[in-house]
Amino acid sequence: MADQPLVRLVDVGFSTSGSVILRGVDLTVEAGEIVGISGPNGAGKTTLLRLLSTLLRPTSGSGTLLGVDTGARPQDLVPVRRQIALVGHFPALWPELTLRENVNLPAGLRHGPADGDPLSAVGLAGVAGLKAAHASLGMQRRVEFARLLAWTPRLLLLDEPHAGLDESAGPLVDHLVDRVTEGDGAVVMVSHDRNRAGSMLTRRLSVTAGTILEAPA
Amino acid sequence: MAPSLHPRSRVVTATGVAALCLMAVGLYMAVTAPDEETQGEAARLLFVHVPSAITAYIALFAGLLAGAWYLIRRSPAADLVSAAAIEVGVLFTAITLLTGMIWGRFVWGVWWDWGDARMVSTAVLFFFYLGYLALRRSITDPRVRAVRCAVLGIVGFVQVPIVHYSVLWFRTLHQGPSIIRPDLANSTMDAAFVAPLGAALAAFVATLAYLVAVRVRIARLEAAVARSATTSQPVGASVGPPRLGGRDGG
Amino acid sequence: MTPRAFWQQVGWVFAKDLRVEFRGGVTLRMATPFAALALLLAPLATGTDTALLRRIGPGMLWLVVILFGMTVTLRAGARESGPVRDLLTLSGLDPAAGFLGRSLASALLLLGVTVVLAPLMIVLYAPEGNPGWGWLALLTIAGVMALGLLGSLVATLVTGLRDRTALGPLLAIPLAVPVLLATARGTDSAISQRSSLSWLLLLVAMNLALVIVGVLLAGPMDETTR
Repeated sequence: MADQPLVRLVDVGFSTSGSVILRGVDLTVEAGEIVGISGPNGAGKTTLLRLLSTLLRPTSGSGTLLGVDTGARPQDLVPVRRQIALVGHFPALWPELTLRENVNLPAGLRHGPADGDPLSAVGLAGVAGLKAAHASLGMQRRVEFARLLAWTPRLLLLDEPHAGLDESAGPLVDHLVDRVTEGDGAVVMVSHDRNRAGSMLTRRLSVTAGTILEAPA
Repeated sequence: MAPSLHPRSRVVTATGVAALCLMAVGLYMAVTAPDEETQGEAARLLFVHVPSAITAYIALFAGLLAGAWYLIRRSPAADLVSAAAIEVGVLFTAITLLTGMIWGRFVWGVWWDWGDARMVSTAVLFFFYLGYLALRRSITDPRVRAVRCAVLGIVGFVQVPIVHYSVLWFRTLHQGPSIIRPDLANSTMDAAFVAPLGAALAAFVATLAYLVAVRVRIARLEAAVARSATTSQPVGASVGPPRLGGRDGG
Repeated sequence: MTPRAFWQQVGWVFAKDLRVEFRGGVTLRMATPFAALALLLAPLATGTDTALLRRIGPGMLWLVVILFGMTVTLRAGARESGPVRDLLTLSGLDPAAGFLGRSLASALLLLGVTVVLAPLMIVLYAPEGNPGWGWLALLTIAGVMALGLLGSLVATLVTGLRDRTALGPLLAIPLAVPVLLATARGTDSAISQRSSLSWLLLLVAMNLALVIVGVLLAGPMDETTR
């Protein structure tokens, strides 16, 4: 188990409603890796992240995620899912609830409340009572990062994590990535922002027209 | 092109021809059957009404079974059969309701009889399956559509007996309409009526089989057309850089 | 998952749904006044003959609860955005626990709607009789529970569809016919001091069927909402 790569996809394809999104994807990610994915709009980067998160299943090919087959029954995927964090393109917040509730509520489903105050760690203690509907994209991003301070996923999937974040919040992403890789985990990050993401990557890949290419360093 | 675009199955054609012949026989027998004592000519409607009701139930039940089979085996063919059977089942349900209403108008004097539990619950069933067809049309992804429609089919089927009994009890608590209510079940059905009913039922079931087969064939062709319309090329291959005509200063 | 963990998740979803509902306030601020308005308008359509209103009052209350309540339960179930659903799935939420928690929360909201509308119906329609309150309470609880289950089942079926606001009620209302008959006719029986047992049993059977189907099929359905 320990030697197994966290991610192994072999000739994986994904199509939906009659359109092909990904095909012939081979990808292996070992513990400790920080993989950056770039590529043009519509190339299938987000779909690739969703496949890696188990939320989507490959429609062809095979693979394992954290040692479990991608085609496993949903109930067998639950232990895997609980070790995966996906920070997607659109923030996963309840607009009716406050920022503090948005941090504490999902924590109740996963584990108890976090030690300390995650919201002040991400610089939002002053607006903890603000409804998420009234928060900016950058603030909502920070709430999502605050949730990740309470536990450490083995596979962290980030879709444009810097989008909407100001300069001062950039180190937050670095901090989370460090925590995951130090904890025997791996990070896969979609980013168009080479300047902010580039320095920490251990490997660069490019998704073009539904297939993965090793990008020039 | 792919052979699936010319699926001229002899079995399907034979079923169609058989349905046509049986229909002619049934029609002849229905017309030549002796007059029923209390209902007169209107009784002949029952040679359409009763077989179409039975056929509708067969079709909807087959649709349910095929849907459940899809959930177990995830076979796309099962979903197509399920959809076809339910679609044709809705057609027969509509025929059942219409002929029932016309018959009721002649025999009871009213188009709609609230006291008839079967009539009311069949109408509810009809609307439920109209919803099923609407759900099918609203979902584009074939896998999502198949799962959700199969689930709805099962939920609907579990609810059908409950709907039926609720309406039945509703009816027993209310006074029926004060008109003569001929009760078919109690009247002795002699062979003169059983034979045409049997012939009509056979004709309807053969028609059901034919229509379902044709509907499945159409669905297959639609899927093939959809496949040939979308290239196997990934979507991303067709996204190019923006071209701002005349502005790029070439 | 242990049964304890399962029921904890049910409780979590139940509490979360109620909290979101109270913050958003659609049930209280929109659906309930809208339903009350329907109760006010119906006599204008049927004519305000006192004897007629007396007879149709309880039935109208339930018709209004089902029609307008269904918009509450369908909305509650289909409200969460895709990213939030992803978050819940990755947090290990059992789809069956989600289904039961949502259904219970919807049922409680519908109970609230019914309790608010009942006095209004009594004022406007003046039904007569000395009702068996025990029967009424049992019928109401079983009725709103069945509506809650039905609503969250159908809400999952229309999740993410563009036409879901029109499609949801079309799928749910025909299946709610037994609830209408059982609650309305059962209330009639209770008012005239007769037993409503058969109607209550019908509702219990319906609840059982919906729980079994919903729990068994929650997993496959959940997989289609991504």
